[in-house]
Amino acid sequence: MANIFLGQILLACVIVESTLLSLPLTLIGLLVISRKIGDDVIYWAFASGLILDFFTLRTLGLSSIFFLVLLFIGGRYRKKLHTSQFIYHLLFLILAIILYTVFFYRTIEILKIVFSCISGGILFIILEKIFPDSADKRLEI
Amino acid sequence: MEARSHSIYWLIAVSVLIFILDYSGLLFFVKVPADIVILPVKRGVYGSSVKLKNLLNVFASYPRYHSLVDDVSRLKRENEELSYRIKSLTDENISMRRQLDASLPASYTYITAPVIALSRFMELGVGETDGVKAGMPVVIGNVLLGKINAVWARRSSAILLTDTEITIPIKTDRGAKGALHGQVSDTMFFEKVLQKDPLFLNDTVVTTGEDGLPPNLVIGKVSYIQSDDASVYKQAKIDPVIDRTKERTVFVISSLH
Repeated sequence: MANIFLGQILLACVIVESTLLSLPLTLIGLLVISRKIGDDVIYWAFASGLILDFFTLRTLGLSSIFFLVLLFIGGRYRKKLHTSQFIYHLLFLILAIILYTVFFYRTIEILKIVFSCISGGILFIILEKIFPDSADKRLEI
Repeated sequence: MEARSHSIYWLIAVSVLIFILDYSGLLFFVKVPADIVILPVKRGVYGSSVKLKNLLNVFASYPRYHSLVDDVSRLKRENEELSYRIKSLTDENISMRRQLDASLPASYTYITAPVIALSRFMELGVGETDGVKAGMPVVIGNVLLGKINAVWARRSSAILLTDTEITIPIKTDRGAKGALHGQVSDTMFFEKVLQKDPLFLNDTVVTTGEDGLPPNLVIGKVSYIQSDDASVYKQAKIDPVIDRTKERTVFVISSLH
């Protein structure tokens, strides 16, 4: 049930990102759900990356490579991300968003980065309400 | 744990393989059936967003409801008069085009393209099967919106004039020449204009006919000029003449002859 819901969230992020807004919503969705499902996020990253490529007319596999490499790098620095300080998660999110927008949208706009972070925060709060879980499953790669 | 750590390497390897295969054009048979699902989804979502924007405009205009009703009646009357004039002018125009050098010759052929998405690129519901090719200009009337940059079987995308990766040669109706360069925040700049060239506010900016684009396609109007006497060039901000976010159908110029 949880997987179906998370899949629908990612699919909605893919559709909105590819049709209406030039924001890294799929990336934000993956980073948010990684806090819930732990290392299983890599399979979601692979699948959502492929679907995003289909929707955005990109070369297939490009988004998947980006998401997986980003999650791999994030996993390597998991000790830092394991701290309880929110600032580390926020910094990683901002860095990921900047890299994504530079690579795929060829631009850095402060407003879009701020809006993306706010979207990530809202999505995280929604997931916390729907799936409250005291056990914090960090990304373990 | 070890198995999980190997999984990501395998997934990255598979992604790279898929990338190489698609880059080589070997996955075309996978993309064609995917468009059957993707096209109606994107068309529905984008169409709904445009309707929602129009609905919000209606709510915003509600305080002016009564004056709007009067305006509608007056405009209907004027519309009927103008329709008659249009018909007679159209007949006259067809014959004049044969003799005058119009900016959009009657010899141009167009592919009607529905807009199915608008994020970084404008995505169109026509593709290779409809005759679309990369590099073709996308217009509404004689206003240039962008160029086709990616083509699939039934979809294509157009890079817009506000994109940071587009640069095209342009000129004004007074003869000032330079280059259009897209900037952040969806703006366009007219750059590399010599100081001696005449450039004024509200000058119309059009294509020069180079870089594979037809000549005299309207880009926009000059809204702000930035000039420094110590510099060789001056530049200007260009405002578009149409709101591309409200357009649901555009045209791809498929042939100039």
